[in-house]
Amino acid sequence: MNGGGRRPDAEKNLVGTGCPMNLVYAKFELAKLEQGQILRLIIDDGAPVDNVSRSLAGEGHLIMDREQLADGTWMLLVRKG
Amino acid sequence: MIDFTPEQLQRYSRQIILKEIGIEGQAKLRRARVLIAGAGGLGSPAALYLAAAGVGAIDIVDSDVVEVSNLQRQIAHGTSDIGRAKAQSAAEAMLAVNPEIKVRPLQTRLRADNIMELVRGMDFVLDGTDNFPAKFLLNDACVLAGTPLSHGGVLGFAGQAMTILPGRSACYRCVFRRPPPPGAVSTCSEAGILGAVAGLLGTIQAAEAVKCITGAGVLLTDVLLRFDALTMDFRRIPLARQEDCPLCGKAPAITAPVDIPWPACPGAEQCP
Repeated sequence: MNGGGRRPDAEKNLVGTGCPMNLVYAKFELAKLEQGQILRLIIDDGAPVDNVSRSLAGEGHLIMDREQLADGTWMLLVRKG
Repeated sequence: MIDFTPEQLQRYSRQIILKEIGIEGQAKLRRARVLIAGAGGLGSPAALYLAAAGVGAIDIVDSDVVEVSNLQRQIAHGTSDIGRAKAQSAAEAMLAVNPEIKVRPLQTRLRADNIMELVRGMDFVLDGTDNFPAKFLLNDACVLAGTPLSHGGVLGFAGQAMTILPGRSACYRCVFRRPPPPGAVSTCSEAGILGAVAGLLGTIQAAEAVKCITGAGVLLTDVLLRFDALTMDFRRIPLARQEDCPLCGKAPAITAPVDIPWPACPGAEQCP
């Protein structure tokens, strides 16, 4: 549910950031991490969360957790592949 | 190393989101040094696309000045550039697209006594020249220096390109041992060239440069890509590194760049 209790190594709030810049920023944050480290993203409902999670998974990163928050945005936990 | 400003992330966003490029690829482009030989029909589109892509340092070399007949295809130059050095004109066009890169315009001819210095330290060299001596000089220098090279040429509606990874793939001399006799092959001023055809080929060369620098995709190595724009027929002719190549073979006869004598043709001042 929360990535096994592990704290993320980095966080990025992408609420209000549309496509494709949300993916660009997510990739930018991941590029600064080591393989296996965890990035926590907060991202808008709809195309943003769908596109970003699909794209990151397609690049070999693992979406460990995806949870909708009270305000309708989503929390994604991504492990760098 | 991985530090881009928000504006840079915006600028390069459309290639950063490509799986094959990404942030890491963009960082490689920024660190890369490329030599573009020729700021004419092939060099113009290549220079603009490589500047746009964010190649960090580009040397562009051309000894000529802009003439009105160039403007039909040499899209780095405008009407107000007539009479100006092509290298300088192209550099300004590149910096207008992307002021963040470093561009060094070099108004000089390629010769055996300067080619190694021009090629030294480059990550990729792009042949945008329009004559056989220069093409052989570039190939020889790049193979001797171990620098990847995109060979390219156009005439009429046709174009050809190959990418050379020295010591690994076929070089230009593996395929063409020596230049053809002077006058055997027409020049663009004799036979003509469609602007868009030069654009097609120069852009293919720019894509090869980006791919080589970032590691994306498969290069045009061990293949001669030829196209005929009249039919839009593209064909790939398989090549192989030759053991008896005088440059990259087992017992090379060529160990230093050589100037190939080439007679000036009548009306040589009109040759591009």
